[in-house]
Amino acid sequence: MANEDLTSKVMTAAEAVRRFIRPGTHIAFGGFAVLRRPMTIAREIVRQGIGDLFVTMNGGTTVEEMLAGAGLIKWLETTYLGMEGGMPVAYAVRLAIEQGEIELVEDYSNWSFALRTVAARYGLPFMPCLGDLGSDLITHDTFGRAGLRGRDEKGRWRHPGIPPRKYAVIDDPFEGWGLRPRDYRSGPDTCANKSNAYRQADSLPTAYTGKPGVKVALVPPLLPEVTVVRAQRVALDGTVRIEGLLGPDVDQSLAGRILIVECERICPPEELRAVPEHNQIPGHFVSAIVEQPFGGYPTAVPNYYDYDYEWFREYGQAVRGRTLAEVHEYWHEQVATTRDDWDYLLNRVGLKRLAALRADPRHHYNPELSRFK
Amino acid sequence: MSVNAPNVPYAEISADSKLFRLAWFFNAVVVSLVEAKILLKQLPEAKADLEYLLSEADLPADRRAFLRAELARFWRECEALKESLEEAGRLAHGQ
Amino acid sequence: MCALDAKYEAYLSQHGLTASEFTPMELLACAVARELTDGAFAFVGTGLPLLAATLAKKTTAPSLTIILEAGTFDPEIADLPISVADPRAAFNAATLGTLADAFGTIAARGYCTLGVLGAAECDMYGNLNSTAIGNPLPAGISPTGRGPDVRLTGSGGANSIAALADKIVVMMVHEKRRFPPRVSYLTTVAGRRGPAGESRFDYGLFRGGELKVITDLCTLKPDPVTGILVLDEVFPGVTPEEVRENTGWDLDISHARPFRPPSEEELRVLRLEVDPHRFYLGRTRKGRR
Repeated sequence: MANEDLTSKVMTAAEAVRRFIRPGTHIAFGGFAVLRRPMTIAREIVRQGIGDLFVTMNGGTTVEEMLAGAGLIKWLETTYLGMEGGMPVAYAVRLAIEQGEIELVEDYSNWSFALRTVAARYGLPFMPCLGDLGSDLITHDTFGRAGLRGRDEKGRWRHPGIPPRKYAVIDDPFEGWGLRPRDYRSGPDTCANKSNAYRQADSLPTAYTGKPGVKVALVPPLLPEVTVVRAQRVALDGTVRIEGLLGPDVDQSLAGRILIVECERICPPEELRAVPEHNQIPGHFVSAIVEQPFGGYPTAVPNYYDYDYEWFREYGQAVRGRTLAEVHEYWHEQVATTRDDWDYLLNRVGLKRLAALRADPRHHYNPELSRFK
Repeated sequence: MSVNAPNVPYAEISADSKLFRLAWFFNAVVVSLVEAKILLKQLPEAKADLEYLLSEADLPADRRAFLRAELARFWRECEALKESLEEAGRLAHGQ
Repeated sequence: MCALDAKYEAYLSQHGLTASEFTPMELLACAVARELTDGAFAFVGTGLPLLAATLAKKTTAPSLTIILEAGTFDPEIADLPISVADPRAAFNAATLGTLADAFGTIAARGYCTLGVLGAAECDMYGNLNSTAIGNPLPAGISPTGRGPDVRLTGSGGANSIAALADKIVVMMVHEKRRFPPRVSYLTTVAGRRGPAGESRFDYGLFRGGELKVITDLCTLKPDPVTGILVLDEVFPGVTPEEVRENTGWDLDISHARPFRPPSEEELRVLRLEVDPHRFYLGRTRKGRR
């Protein structure tokens, strides 16, 4: 295979963002909380000022706080808006939702959202979930109320990223046969849970379906235009290897139309293909490979560097009590004025600070990291 | 194919790209050794077990041959690794 | 009374503490730890719940399994994680799964016997709100054109854990506005669901129902018939009347009993082994104490 075939997907963050991310793009960022967030692409979005984004997230919020902080999010699908470093709720996201800069918010739970990515990964029309029942997650349908679900007069989906229903609740056609704990011939169930009200119920619930049955919520797949993920290594042929905790990343990365992978280091294919069971994503799913060492900063990339706890503390202090406009200025100054992530990482943050985060290979993190001053 | 080959049309080959890619190559090697090091920590027990088994007078011939073949394979791979590690050491010490 | 070794003496002196007296955070950690039983598979978040779980494991519940909802199974935590996704929370784990594994392979499959949750609001039936205070609608669909008064974190894993655990422990700050008769947004069904005997099972929640609410003043548990939270144990220095005054419904305090204070051994383990830097213990929690 010619070198060109192998390397045609390699590009700068600037080019990846220019090519694949437009205003209003439905986009999901991988990683989870302080872990392995694709900050390089996210920072480039801030540099290019691409707004009206429809952001979908499962376990934020380092990326989403920055994007909302830069005024770039219009719609948000979310499960959790907590942020580390002393603020219980991500500050700019909260203000943007309260003040209406983020116009629509659709809430899910971690489980139902994860199952949406599983449905997408496996190309399935939906996945079943035993949670969210009985809660307002089911009764509150933001996109429904906003008239964004279903088809338009021409019969096309109003928005290709918004399913016709938020949930569907059905009666399990297998009558709860598979629910744990359950009865076996050889003895009681060996799982630890003990409660299963269906086993001794005189009558079955009739909620949602109007008929007695075992209730199961179905969730539609998550189908964004673009997904972005940071891996430690990507081979020149696009093979992706993530080290450490995966979080939502394999399922979610495969859910999009376009997958952008940023990485610490591009390596020869043989390096990863020798142990294929440690790889997660084959190259044919990958549209762009962006190499940026330390680009996950301030989040942690296991085996490479830890999160910068001080960054989170400093950010909390910097924005406390500020207006949303002031927060926009902060992010503009911190990120948008940098030329690229090399500039941000080596000049704004500094190599000394980055090097202090280096992870110990046995721990995958830095056990000497100073966090509790 | 060398990752650092000059004809590889990467988006930007700057001095910084080269430097950090090199640092991360060293890191990848270090990380890859974690499992090997943990296994090699079991050598004292393995040595004791090996000595005991090979000293057993009534160990059947086919068992003995199988064990010796595994040991030979182990030795070959360790020798090969030793050479690579020495080369790595020369690279590191040479600078 | 345990012997005060030199290390503990130095610690007590450094932090201005005594062997038997406890801070509010320490009391809370011990109260939660007591609910974490031996053999349980407990889903906990980082912070005080993880501290409580670690304390329980080192004292009364040695075979407690701690589960952080990132998909890790049975990590050996050497350094305190600040998030479930912190690499510290995966150290020496048996397996690292995905988020779908946390709630599927672990919880739904039958290894979520207990969950420890926090919330902004808890109503009389143990329904929790961690989504929004006041109007929950975002600006694009709200009649005011503005979003919620206060937007909170959202469910995260709370709703999922409460759907699958046999028992839920909820940690709350005890203020009237945080204990309304009904929550404005029902994020998580932690106890019974509603009035007139409406149960969680009516909505297809087939696990759970056991609930304990632990606040900075007391513990609450649901009445077995009505499902309404009543006062269980009162913390030292607190009166049942004070608890009722700070609750948004007419709290039944007729069954109140005193809470057994943390023992010196519980405190010692908590201080020296669980959170030696007082990273979480040293924080002052919002609330009156």
